[in-house]
Amino acid sequence: MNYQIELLRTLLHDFIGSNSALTAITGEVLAVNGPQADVSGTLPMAGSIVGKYFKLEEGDVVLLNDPYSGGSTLNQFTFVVAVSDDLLWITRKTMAPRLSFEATIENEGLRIPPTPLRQGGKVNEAILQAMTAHPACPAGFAGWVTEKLQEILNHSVKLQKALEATGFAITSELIENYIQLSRKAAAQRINESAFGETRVDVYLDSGELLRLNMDIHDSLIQIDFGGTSVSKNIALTEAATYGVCLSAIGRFYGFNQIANSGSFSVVQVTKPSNCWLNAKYPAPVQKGHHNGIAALEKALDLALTQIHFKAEKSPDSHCSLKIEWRNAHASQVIDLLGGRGASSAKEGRSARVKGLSVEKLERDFPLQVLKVEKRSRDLSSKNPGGGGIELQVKVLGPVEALWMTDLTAHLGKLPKNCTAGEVSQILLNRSGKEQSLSSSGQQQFQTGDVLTFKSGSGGSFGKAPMTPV
Amino acid sequence: MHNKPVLGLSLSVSVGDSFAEFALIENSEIRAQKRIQHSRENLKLNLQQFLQAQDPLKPQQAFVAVRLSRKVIEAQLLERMAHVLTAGMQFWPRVSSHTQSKLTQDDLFLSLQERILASGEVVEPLTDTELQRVAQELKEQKIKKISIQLLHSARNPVHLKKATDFFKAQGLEVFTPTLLDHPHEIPVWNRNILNSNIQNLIDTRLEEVKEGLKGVLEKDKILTLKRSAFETEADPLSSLFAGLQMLAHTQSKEPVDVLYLGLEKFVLLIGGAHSQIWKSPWGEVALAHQKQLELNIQPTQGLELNAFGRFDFSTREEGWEPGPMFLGRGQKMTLLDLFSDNAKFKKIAGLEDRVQAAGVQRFKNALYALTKISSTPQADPTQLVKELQSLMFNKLCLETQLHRENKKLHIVGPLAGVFANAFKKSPSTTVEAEDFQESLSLLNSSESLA
Repeated sequence: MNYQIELLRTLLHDFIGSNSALTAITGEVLAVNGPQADVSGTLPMAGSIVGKYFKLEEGDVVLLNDPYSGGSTLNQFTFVVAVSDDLLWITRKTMAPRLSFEATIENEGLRIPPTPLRQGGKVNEAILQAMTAHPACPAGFAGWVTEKLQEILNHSVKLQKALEATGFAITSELIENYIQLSRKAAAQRINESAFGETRVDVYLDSGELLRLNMDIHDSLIQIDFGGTSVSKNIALTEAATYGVCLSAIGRFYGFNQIANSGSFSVVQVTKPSNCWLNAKYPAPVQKGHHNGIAALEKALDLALTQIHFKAEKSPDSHCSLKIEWRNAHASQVIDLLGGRGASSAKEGRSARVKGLSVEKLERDFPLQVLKVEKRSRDLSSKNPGGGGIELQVKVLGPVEALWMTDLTAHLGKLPKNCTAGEVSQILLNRSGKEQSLSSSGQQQFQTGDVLTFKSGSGGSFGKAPMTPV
Repeated sequence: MHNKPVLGLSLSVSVGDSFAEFALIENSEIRAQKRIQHSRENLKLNLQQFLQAQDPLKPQQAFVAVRLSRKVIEAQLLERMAHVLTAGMQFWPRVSSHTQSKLTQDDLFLSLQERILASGEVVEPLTDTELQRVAQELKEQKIKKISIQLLHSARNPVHLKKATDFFKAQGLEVFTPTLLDHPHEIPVWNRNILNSNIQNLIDTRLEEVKEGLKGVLEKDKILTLKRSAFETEADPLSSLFAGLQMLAHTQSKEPVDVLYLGLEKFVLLIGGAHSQIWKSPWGEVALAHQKQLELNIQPTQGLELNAFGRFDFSTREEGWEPGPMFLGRGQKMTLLDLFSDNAKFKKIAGLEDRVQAAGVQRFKNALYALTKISSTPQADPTQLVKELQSLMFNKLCLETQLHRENKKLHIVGPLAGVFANAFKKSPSTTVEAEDFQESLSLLNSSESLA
């Protein structure tokens, strides 16, 4: 059959799942799938380290969550599975998130470097017990890992059965051909669009500067972070930085469906070794994975919009507002996402909420949700940006909350018709007096306090036409 | 597939988006069967003609199931109705949705000043004045049908009951959610909102069937599938999952996966497994149903050049209106057009005598024209069709194998005989040649019939 490439794409699409990758043991990336922005960099790195330091046989599994070895935040666990002698399936599973503002990665939680979890058909119980005995190990960890491992193994067996049933073979020649075609298709997409160079500065309210120089020429995108400051409060690993760049470029040009070594080869990223985009152990990463990735996505979007100035688009609000409620019995993280920017063709998409059930929140914590709705939009524009989310709660008893976002307004240059959207806001009304809270914090709240959380809105486009009175 | 023996002569009617199946069954044996494209042929008239042709055989009862696609439901969501929610929560269903598809227009979400806490304590009583205010607003907007969603109704239904009674007394049609203490209110509310939207549509389809059976069966002998086997509540949404899921029910103790290859949909049903949440195009819906997966490969999927300039199947489904090119009206190439020369395919009930030579030729011309700009020029169109058929078989097999969960796989449906070859290397797979398996399965569903 001549359509092996299309069959391979079907297999990759249907097999790998979300936040996962399939790589050859030799290092080629066959496919990466999000939605997390960093996966194009971190998962291949995890595969590469495991391929280099472990001699895996089919069915062997290595577990890690260390951000400096291809992991992400510490509540996300990466399983590297040898699905055949020459293919690695790297898949990331998430335990319940917790917010933290620690000074080092070791204080953020249990850090697991690449560790053999299953070898020769047997789970390495001794290692699993050692992890469980660690004081920072999350509750229920061993049971959760065992359950996920079983799901992963069942799924990888399906791959073998599917290959047997179809007689389809993933040969090195096929991989090479697929990667070449992907490279060509990605280069062609870039060639068909605008070229040029630009510089974007994004200031984070934590004190860091992100400087991005982008140069698009000859089907190649060069991204240089020269001039980016050192870390003050935020750090992001090199692999995560690279992954975010690949993801943003793929999304912009529409080749994220062929995210592999071929399409990645059209992007080159350089950065100073001491900047905050090149975190060194033991820098903590949680804030970097939230605010840092958002700043990076914002800079990349702005640079791409400036070069493709004929397709003006106002900036999205990339930095969500995360809130964690805690009491003695439970904790719950709610994520208020930001709105999307508008363009000349359409309004920005409004934001949404992740992880909130109003009834459950009120059952688990002494809270009354007064309202949850979209923030008002700029109706004086031709196309308003997508509204952020407004969540207002009344505290009915003592409760602790942690929150994390970035409140920096965009002060840099924007395309002619574009405006920056509203930034996030956190307001506390205590005894009739309202005050703004900082971008991140941890505080005990009292009965009667009313808290209003607002995530950022997307930027608007143009001005509404004047209507005669 | 084993069917429960049914005494007496029964009529099974399964109505999909474009096709409807009628089968006259006696003791699990089909005495007569017919499939029509009801989007082009009159359902009521065809049903009457079908029964007249069987004279003197007369069914003693009828089993009816209706399926609706996303496209049809989406069109129905434009109907003007309002959704009344606890004040402050009126935008919550929209804000919580992960999809772009809207359940209803934003301005038709209305707020009701009332509040009950998680403990069931009333902190803001629902007053008559407030109910009258909302009633006035509904009157001004000329709205006759509403759904009501109030926080913590499962803990204390006092406000929900009061509001329901009040609006019913105002002559409005009122829909209320099942009072389940669900971990998340939105899936429960979404179910109520969707139910309120599709009720009329299902009733209209059922009424058409009942009209077709007038003079043959009394209304109480026409049994409609009203809930999925995993639900205790009978409502329109639950009935949508009731028809197909019966295919995965066997008398065997061992669960079996079923691949249904219908003219409208390819669906993989996972035997012995069910889901509590339906991830609908409009957000999550609390609806227990047989675990099933709509495959990425679908019968009316388009053919196009992919990112590499090579032939592939698109992600868009063209549907049956106007339908594949071989029927003569369609302008876009679909997966089924690749099989328009296949002898077995042309004999499928509902398609027989409908394949138009001119349409088939037009498809071949369109395919040939596309080869000119593809990166893999193919001089022989017949060979290209064979290659694409092979790609389709392999994709179907690959996708099924990657998602099936049980040892045994049954392949059923009108296209099962045509596509069976795709699974020739797959162990523990059986192909059910019975074209009208969906109708037969309805007779397994007596526990779901009301």
